[in-house]
Amino acid sequence: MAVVNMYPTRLLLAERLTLAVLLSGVASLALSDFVSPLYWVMVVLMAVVRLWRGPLFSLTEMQTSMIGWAGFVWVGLELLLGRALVVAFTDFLLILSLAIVIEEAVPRNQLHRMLVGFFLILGAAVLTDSVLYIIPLASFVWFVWRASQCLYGMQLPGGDLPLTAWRSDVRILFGMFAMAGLLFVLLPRFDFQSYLKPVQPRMQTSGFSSQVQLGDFARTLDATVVLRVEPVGDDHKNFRNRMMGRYWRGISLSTYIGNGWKEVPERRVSHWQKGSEVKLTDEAPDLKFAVYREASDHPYVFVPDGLGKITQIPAAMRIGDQGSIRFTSPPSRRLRMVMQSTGRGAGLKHLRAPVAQEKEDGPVPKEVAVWAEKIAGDEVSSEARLGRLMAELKGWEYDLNASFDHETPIVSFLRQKRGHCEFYASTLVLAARSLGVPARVVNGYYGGEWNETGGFYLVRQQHAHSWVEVWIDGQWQRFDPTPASRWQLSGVRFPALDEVWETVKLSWYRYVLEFQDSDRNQAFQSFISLLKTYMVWIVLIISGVVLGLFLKRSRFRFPRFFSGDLYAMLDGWLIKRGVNRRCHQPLRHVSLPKGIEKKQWQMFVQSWEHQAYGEHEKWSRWDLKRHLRALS
Amino acid sequence: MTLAYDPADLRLPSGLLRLLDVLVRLRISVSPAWQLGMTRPGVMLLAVLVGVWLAAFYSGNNLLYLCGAMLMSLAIASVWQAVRLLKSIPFLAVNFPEYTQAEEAFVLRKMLPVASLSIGLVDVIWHADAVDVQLQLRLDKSALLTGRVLAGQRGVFKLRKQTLATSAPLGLWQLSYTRDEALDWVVLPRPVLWQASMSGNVAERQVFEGDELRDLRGYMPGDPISRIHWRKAASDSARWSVKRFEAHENEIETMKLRIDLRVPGMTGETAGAKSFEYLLSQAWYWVEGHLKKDKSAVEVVLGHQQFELSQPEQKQACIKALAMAMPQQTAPVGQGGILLSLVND
Repeated sequence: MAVVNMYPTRLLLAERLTLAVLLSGVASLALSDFVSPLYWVMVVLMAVVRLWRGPLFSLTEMQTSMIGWAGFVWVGLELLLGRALVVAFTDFLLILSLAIVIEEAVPRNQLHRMLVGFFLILGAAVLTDSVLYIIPLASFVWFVWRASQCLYGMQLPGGDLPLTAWRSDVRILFGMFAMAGLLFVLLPRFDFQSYLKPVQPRMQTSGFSSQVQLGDFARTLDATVVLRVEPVGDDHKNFRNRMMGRYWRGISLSTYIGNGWKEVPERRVSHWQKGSEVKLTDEAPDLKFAVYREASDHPYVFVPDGLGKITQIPAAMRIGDQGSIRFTSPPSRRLRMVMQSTGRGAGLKHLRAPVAQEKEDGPVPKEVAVWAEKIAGDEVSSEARLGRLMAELKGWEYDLNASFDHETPIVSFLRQKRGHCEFYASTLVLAARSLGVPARVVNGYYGGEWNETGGFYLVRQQHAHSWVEVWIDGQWQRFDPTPASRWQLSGVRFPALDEVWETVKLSWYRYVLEFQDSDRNQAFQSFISLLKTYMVWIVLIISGVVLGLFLKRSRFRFPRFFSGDLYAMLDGWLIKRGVNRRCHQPLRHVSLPKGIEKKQWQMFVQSWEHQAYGEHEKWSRWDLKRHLRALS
Repeated sequence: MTLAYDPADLRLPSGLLRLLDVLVRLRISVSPAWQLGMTRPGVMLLAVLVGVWLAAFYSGNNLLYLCGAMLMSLAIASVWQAVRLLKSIPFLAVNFPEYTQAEEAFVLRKMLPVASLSIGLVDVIWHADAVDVQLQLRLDKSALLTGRVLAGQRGVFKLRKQTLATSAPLGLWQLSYTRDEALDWVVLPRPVLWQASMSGNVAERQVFEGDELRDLRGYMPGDPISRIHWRKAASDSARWSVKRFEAHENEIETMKLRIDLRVPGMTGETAGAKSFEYLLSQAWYWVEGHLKKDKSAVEVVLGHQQFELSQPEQKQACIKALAMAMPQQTAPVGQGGILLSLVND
């Protein structure tokens, strides 16, 4: 009660609404992985206490400005310690939010909350690309609408204007969102500078660097999505069949260092600028698809078998002669690449011949060489010998958690005959080299899962894989010795739910984050073709609506064939029989029509009055006609 | 405690506030009927929108595009809501008083049968040649029309254009809509209590010397003190009322007032004009006293015009003629009744 006495009820209402505006901004920023939860949790806690205690729980303006200044100094320190400017700025805004949540309930406080809430929303637009961002954004707009209504009422003499019911906002909100969607689509896109593009935390990976320790790579069933691949065009069925079970090549590792692998320095490197087209083969590609690559801590681009070209690359790239494609630096955000591929396997033809490191059998452990010789047996051709080795390896047990000796991992793998793909690939490479066949390990991804709801492929971290490339008959050929049981493992907990959620996310990336002028043009063309297809129906519907509106406006009434003004019909019949009924003259007062018996006429009048004024069912024109025929 | 959210609360530099005021005064003619301006918060929102769009165009960040589109749609929706709000206001002529009296404020307070689209205040300005009428419409669950209607002089003012202005619903834009709504605003002279000789003041005798209380009217200098409604005056000392009584049926006779519109010697000069106005004030005092009488046949002769007050059309015409009366050269038509004249024949 003390609160109500101290503060007008209107202020309490505005107080909650502006708090909601601010919290919408805080929620949007809470979606960002760059923002420390400590900042926004503090704001939310203070907001809860403020809602509970009301404006009595407050600090003076001076005290809150002191908190603001302290936040400023703190953020300055953060910058000195190397925190990114945008992140430091949002930290400052969150500290400021903490202050103004508990600031004294003065008019300025309302304005502070709305402005800071707005800047938080803008900050989140740079620091997150989550699909959930749409929720705080929509709630922000709605609460700004209501809070402004409330504050507007207070600003002018009509200070006691009540707020309209929230249901009345539904229509206007729907209109606003539709209009926002239209503006979003119609406005032109420019791309002068990518500094303010949404960023995402780089995914931590292992196995995609110039030097890899054996045993670190691809050991967990991490369901985090790495790539999303959707068809460009309408041929979904063909796309699914052709993309199924593809290898996504990342980095090739050639130098064995005893407990791991090392990349060989590239001899010939070609550089490609942003927006250019990278062409890898002369064959005409026949499958077009878009790949969404999540931000990760390495610069490698994963390309599927038979990659023909990448059109309009989103960032500068370089391609080495060993087949690794990488960005000049690891991108800080998700990138969309449109690729075209030819038949499976065609993409390996352009790779250079083996270098010395891929041939040398010096570092091959003795146990591996002995094992290889034993398994290969008396086969003559390299391909057949490697085939036997691979068949042997495929019969072993796949185990993600197998323990191994860190000094001699391959030897311990040979003893245990269990391990994960990295051991299988490494063993085969070393065995091949011991048999005199150049070989190397390739790290990348294999397969993926088809999302039926959205019609696209997902490649997750759990699909990370090592395989082998062997130089046979003048070209690199792929060998994969990993047992097939590997691909029955999955870390996805709720597959059905996950499928829908991933579809929503890809739609968000595709139609919001990656929306471009070309998409608008495409949408426009689709709209035109739709118009052409259904032109007749559209014209008919529009004509019908226009005619309906015209008739409604002109108060046109359709002729009443079955009911309605029966007097006109009756009067016409009476006139033919020499009776001219005056307007509003009851039927019982008109004279007897010619040729009609009096008794019959009286019965007719009685029936007429029963239906007209009594409880009998109303006559239709057909009923009247029937009665009149009976009279005649 | 004011609960405004004016940017001035942010303690902006005075130069910036002056710039805001300049922008707030700007009005953009969208069409001949519609004008759009901004409030201070509206200017701020516009500045913010420009900033967001520049950032969006510069970076190509589609989330900034989305933010900009959302805010822009909020601004457009508020304009659209204001347009609908103004268009939904019915014609107000029917709520305007039948007549007012010069130098006397008429306080208008009327509920309108409008289904309000939004909360808000609408300023209604009705333009006439000489004077504007300013009203206010308060819209929430119902619509309340309030205002103070005051004219300095008698006459019939042609109200033609009506401007409706509002900053509802968000207080961002000042939208005004000018529409045609014609109305004759009849302003009558302030009534003057007159002491007629002859049979005394017949009208006054009727209303003050009857048996039954008829109604109350505002006190005017010269009213008998015994007729002041003291109990009412105790509750509202600012407005004294005077009791008026109904005369006996048999005392009611055909009443006739003849007003001679001739002004001796000159027409239109100051002294003559004052006398003429005084004459009309007396005439209006008499007519007003009889307006609510349905039983008696009251006849008013105004120069060469004759009116029967029991007839509604003639009553209207009489009121209008009184408001518009100009000096004439000829004597009033007819004979008998009470004659009000400045001319000694």
